[in-house]
Amino acid sequence: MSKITYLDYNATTPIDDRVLDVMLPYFKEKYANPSSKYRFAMDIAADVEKARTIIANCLGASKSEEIIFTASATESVNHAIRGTLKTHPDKKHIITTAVEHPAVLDTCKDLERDGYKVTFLPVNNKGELSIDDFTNAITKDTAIISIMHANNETGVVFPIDKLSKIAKQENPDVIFHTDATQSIGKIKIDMNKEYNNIDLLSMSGHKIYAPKGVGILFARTGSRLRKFITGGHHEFNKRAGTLNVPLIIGMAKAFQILDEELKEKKQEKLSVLISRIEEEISKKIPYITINGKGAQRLSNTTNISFDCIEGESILFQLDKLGFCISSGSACTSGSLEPSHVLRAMQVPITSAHSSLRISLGRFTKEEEVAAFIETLPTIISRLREISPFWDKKNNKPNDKAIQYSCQS
Amino acid sequence: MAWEYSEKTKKLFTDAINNNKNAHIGEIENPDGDGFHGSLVCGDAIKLTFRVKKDEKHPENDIITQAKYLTFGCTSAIAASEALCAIIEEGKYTPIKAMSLTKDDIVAFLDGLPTQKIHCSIMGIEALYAAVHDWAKKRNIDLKKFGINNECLIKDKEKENNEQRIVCRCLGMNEKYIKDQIQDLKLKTVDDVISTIKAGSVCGSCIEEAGGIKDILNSVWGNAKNTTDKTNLVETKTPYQIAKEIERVVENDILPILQKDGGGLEIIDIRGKELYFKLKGACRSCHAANDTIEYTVQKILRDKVDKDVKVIHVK
Repeated sequence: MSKITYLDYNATTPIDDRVLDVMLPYFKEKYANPSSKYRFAMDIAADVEKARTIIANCLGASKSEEIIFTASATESVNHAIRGTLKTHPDKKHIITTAVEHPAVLDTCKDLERDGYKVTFLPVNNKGELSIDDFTNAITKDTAIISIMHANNETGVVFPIDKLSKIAKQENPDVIFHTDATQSIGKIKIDMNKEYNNIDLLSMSGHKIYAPKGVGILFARTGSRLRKFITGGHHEFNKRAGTLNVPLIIGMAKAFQILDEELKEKKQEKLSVLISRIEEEISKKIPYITINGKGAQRLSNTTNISFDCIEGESILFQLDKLGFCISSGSACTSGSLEPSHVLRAMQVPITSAHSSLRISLGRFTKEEEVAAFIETLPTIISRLREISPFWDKKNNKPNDKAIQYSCQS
Repeated sequence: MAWEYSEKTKKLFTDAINNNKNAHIGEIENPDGDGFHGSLVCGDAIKLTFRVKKDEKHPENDIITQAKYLTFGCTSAIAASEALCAIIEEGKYTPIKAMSLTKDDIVAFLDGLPTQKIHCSIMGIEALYAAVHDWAKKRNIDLKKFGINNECLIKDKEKENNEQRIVCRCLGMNEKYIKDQIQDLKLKTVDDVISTIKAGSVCGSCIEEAGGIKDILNSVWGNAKNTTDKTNLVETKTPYQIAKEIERVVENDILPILQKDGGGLEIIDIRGKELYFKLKGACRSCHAANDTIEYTVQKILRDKVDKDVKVIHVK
């Protein structure tokens, strides 16, 4: 394979060598089933419990039993939402946002078909929620509120500490769940301090330099939750299935590394690189929009739209040069629909077709960012020259583009 | 969902982007034919212009010598535009002969397209048709004389487009166009329509509404759905029809059951979907059975007439 410039850390991350090293013995020598009752297995079970304690400490959980290992954040989300509804059969209302990850969005839409009423809170053009809308949506009938911490496409951060506090004031019985898949390791979360009103939290290993196929559901002691995957007494009888020991051990190591990084404020390096991308691209390319600009955002993510061209043809060329980047373009999705997040933000549909998401991470090098900034303007200007909506002479959208965007 | 483009598609796109000698990017000044299809909203658009070698005596024998395009769209949309221009230039097509080209010619030239991307090739053909019409207008040619009326999708556009009801407002697609595409491309489901011609893909509001995409699909592919979906028919009944039907069901289906046990039922009134009745004969004195009878009568009427029928026993 030729040279890869990976700028898509919100999609997944490579496994950190330090994580891989601690995992390897559990693939070979330490293979026993931790549920077995002989010394060989019980030692491994003890290692799993150590891992659980490490993660519990990193999240500020008061007991390690509050950490349940799952196979993915998607599973955790399903467990949290469906499990809560089953223990609150008299309540039929769910609150979430229009910009959630499909794990939450599709689950809520599925429940809608079962007769649940779902409020999908809108966002403004910066991608922010209205606190008033949120407060007004809460009723006595609300069983669960599920709001993501940081958006995977734009990096916009929701103030879940504040929102969960309001939720509990409005309705003390309501359960607050957050999908923290994108924020873990980028924002310090202490479940015992400012986040102490959050009952349930989902996340996955592969966004934090641990392998794919392992996730966590944090379930605060006392939160009533029906089992989602049945079939055994594993995980304090909360989630059945033989424990995936190597991945769990790896994830604990990943958490430890994140904690050190957060203390050393390594994220600041990424925010410098993101600012550089935004500034330079704004300087070099006219008619762009930085989606979510002005809102509180993750330090590693930027989402940029380019007027009058289509995202997939940008990606195709970047791909040929080895750049790995995501787009909200309809043509890159299976559904042929532009990103639901950008649509909820009321990004004009004319530029929603051409959004690029650049997300950086632990192994991003300055040179890679520089190469990207160097490469992109030529690609954009070439595509604009081909576009029937671009005025080449004056380097701006032509009358037809304006006319067409008005017609819609 | 991921897809792979053919080598040919990738090459044509790359040629276009690098503006290689053989690429057809641009716009011909004072073109002999000029066509446009698509929109910014849709995510795809193409402007096609061509130049002909004029045959002054027989303008219908003009031959296309040069074709150029400007395209807004994904990799395959740009490659399909490139393919279209190459086909008509290399084939020395007359504009009229070019009208016989279809999306399949473009797909074949590209060595295939992923199914989700077929609409990219349709778009090019639509722009070509529009350009040929422009040429015909400029050269005073009546395309009807050349039998183009029946085969060409665009033929009705100029005449009827303005009168035609727009179904997909986001993308400005009218009923006629959607219907034709559904028939020609054998689109059977809403998903087929969305993925192939994109109608209904933006806001989605035209999918369910009256006269929308679902209705058009039903009208094209017959009553298969209508016959199984009786609720729709029932719901459109007028109060008169409902009253008549309640009467009929009471007489034919309910009375015989009651009469078996020496009972009977008298209709007092029918107001909307509510039936007011009195039990007669043996039923009347059988208090224990009253509720059961009420339930049975209501159930039969709900099954046979309308799911909202309510029965009220006037004692």
